[in-house]
Amino acid sequence: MKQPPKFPIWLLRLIANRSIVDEIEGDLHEDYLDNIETRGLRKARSIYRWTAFRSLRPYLLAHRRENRKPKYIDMVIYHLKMATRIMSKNRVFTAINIFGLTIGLASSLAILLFIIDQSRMDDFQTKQDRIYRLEAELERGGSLQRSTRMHSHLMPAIAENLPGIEKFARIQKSTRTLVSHKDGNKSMTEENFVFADPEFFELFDFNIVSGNPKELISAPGTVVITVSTALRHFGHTDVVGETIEFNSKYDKPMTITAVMADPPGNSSIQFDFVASNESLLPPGGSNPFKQRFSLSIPVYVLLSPGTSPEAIVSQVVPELKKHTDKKSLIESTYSLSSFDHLKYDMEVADGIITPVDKRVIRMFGIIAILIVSLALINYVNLTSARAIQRAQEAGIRKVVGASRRTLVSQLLTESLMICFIALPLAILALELIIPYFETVLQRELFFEYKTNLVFLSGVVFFILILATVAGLYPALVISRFKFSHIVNGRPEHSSKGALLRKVLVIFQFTFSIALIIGVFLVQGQLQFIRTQTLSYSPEHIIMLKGSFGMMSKNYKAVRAEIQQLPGVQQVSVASASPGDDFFASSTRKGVSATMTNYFTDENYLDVFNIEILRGRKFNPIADSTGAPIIINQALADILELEEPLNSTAYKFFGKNNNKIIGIVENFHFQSLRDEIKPVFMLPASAMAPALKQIIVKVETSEFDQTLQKLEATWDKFFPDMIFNYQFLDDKLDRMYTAEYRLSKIFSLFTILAILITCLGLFGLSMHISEVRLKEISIRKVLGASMGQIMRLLSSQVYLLVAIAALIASPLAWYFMKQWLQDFAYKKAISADTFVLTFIACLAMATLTISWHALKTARSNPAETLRNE
Amino acid sequence: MKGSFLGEFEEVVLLATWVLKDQAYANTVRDEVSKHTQRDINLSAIHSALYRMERKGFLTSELGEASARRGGKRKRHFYVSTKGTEALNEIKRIRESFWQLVPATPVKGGSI
Repeated sequence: MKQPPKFPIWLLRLIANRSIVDEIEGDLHEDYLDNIETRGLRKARSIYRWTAFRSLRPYLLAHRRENRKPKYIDMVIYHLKMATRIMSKNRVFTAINIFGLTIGLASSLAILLFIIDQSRMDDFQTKQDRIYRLEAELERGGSLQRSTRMHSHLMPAIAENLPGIEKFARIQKSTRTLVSHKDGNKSMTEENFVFADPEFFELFDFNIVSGNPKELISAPGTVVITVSTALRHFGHTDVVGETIEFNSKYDKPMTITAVMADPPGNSSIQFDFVASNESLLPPGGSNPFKQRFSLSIPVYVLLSPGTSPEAIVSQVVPELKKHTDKKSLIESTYSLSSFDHLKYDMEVADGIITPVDKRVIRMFGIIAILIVSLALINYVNLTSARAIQRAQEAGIRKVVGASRRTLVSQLLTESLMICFIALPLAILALELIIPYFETVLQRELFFEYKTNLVFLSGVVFFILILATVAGLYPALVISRFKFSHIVNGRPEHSSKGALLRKVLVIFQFTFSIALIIGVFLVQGQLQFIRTQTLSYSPEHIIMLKGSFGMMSKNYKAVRAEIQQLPGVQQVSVASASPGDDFFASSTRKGVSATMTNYFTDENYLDVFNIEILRGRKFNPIADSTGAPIIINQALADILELEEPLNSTAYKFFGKNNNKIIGIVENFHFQSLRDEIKPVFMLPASAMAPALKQIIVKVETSEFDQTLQKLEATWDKFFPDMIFNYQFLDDKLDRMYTAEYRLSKIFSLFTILAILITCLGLFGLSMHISEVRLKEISIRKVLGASMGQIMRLLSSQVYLLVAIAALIASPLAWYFMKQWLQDFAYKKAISADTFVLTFIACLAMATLTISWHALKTARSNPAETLRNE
Repeated sequence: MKGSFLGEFEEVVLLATWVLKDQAYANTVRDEVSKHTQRDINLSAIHSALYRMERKGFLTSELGEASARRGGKRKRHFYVSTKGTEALNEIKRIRESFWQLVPATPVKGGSI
């Protein structure tokens, strides 16, 4: 027998009450069978469908309302009413629960927003799955060096014969000092100046606001600037066709061909200018690899769809061999790193993509989950502890006829209610946290969560799960009680669930203690970085930054003038100072290491308090002949010389071999994450145009006045340059922004975690004091002292904290060891941090529980026992 | 009068239910109405009328037995309530009182 179509009835069921649909379905079924006989199957089916469809009438809904309401809605209303009564009866517990959940939710939502932001990084780049960066690995001096910079003509040479490479762009980030039209023609140093091939705009999607998108930087001497840059330099954005001029005779003026929107906040690539790199590239000629002058630039390639990067990589060396036999080129191992990988690649940075540390994101995720679970534990602990008090209620309800299911659903309603009270509060708190979070992260959260329905419904769904998880255990415990239990004995004394509560409290303290240790260690390391490793006091040193060639002729005069200013202790001119980026690393024949070099005058070592181990510092008179050079100990160790001092075995700079006149200690001039690199210093007179920094050691007492005088002097010598100063300590701190951020966020979450944990402990101790009130009164009557009672009430908590500390210490030690591995120079993890944390936690726990313990211990036995 | 007002279709359905006595449920009512009015009537219209009149109190109902012919669903039998019979009688009375006033010889429309 043929069955009638199912769909129409299913549709009816969605809308109407089940029983009436059943009746209708029965009638329709009968009619259907009749119709098959009289009119045939097809007709019968179509009548069935049509009739069912026409059955959608208003009376169906009226029917539903009448029949369903009493069973369903009334129960919910009743549960809600009960929940509010119980919540207002136990105000302290309710407040602790709601407050804890609010904090937990708010902080984990903040972290969630951050993580979502991260995952949506660069999502506007439509071709990102086909964008790769070419990298090379070369063994040099026994160690593998990974490089992101390629010979400028490598890619053009090989791309010809590799159809898989659709497009490529050589991109370089640089600094340029340009003359601002807006600011009285003063010069301004711009640090986000990108030079690129025209294909840059074909690889990456950026929004052109005005100008011809077909001819952006295809011609030499053209530049595209961002809207905010246009406003900064011109005061308006209608600047297509204008020129920008540079404060250097080496840079020709550039024509603005287009204005583009600022790179969005979620772009890994941030810049203010994109200029044609035509003028930078060395001439190709018939064989570019034989040119004496070569340039290495990061190269990004766009592979054609379906091309595997491995296929391209395997072709690089064979293709190169057709053009050159240069060892450093053909003996390198080449690889293509995907764009997605680059976003998180902390190992080698090319300055174009700002990578994010994936471990930090992961750690944030873990912290978010843990903080919510702390709040959850509070709820579970407090509610299940109260369960015994509520056993009476449950028993009576059962006698009156409540099923276990009703009891469970009532208790779940309570936890749902708590959670949904906490949610709006958490969102309110989130709004308060976000600005702080943004300053710490130093970036804006661009994800608009308030208008994102998926996110919001996700949050609501999450809350539902949270409420169920939190409510289920207490619900099961409470609903298990039988009336006879309550009549028979005193269920307060049952130790059911006490073990679980203890375990959960231990978990809370473990997490808090681990976080505290982490904060101490991170801060210890930062302190170590700031104070222990520097021979100089960075807060006394100001750097005035100019540009290449600014003091070619008059650096001695400038120095002498500044030296005379009151408040100035010492002045030095140099090409660079600690904390600068040293892209100028170089190699020399016979030296198996990459070296960094400075041009410095004779005061440099004094200003920075760098100790001369052997030999002497520069001296303008004695240095006029013999190409003198000062090296650091690290370089002295590498040079294969028996007596490095006064040796003239190597040529570091210039035409003749250099004479090593001094060896200095290994001073820190870069981030402590890295080992101290080999350095050599050349006298200022060797290349005066390179001197572009004036380093001033000042007295702290009259900073402002000194600064004003410095500015006046600056304006006198360099009237067309903006006075740009920086304190060395600021600059050094900037090298560790990631670490500072981490420490700040760590501290914030630690405080929150401790707060939630202590709240829970507070609630629990209140509960214990209440339950044991009579016992303690009897003990008092029998002669127990205050001290004994306090000990009785608190010893267990101390035990829990001690166990937590035992678990947390190795955990924290392990994770911090991992973190410290980033630093070449690190503070040893000492035991006192752990001891200190443990003591602090004990003190915290004591403070938390002593309120109720004291109250209980001081209670008057006559009053508490009166009612028995 | 108000509240006990019946529409023409409702009146017919109610009459059919009355006629069928304890055999009245949607399908039989539909067949009965179709037979007398000589119109094809959709089952859903009958359902609508029956349930609506039940709510108004003209009909009472009870659930009957299930059968394979009905796809395993129980049927709902309808009975005319006292209020229903009163309403039908009232309608009949009103109509008859009008018919009394109508002249015995029918008017032949169109004749001179």
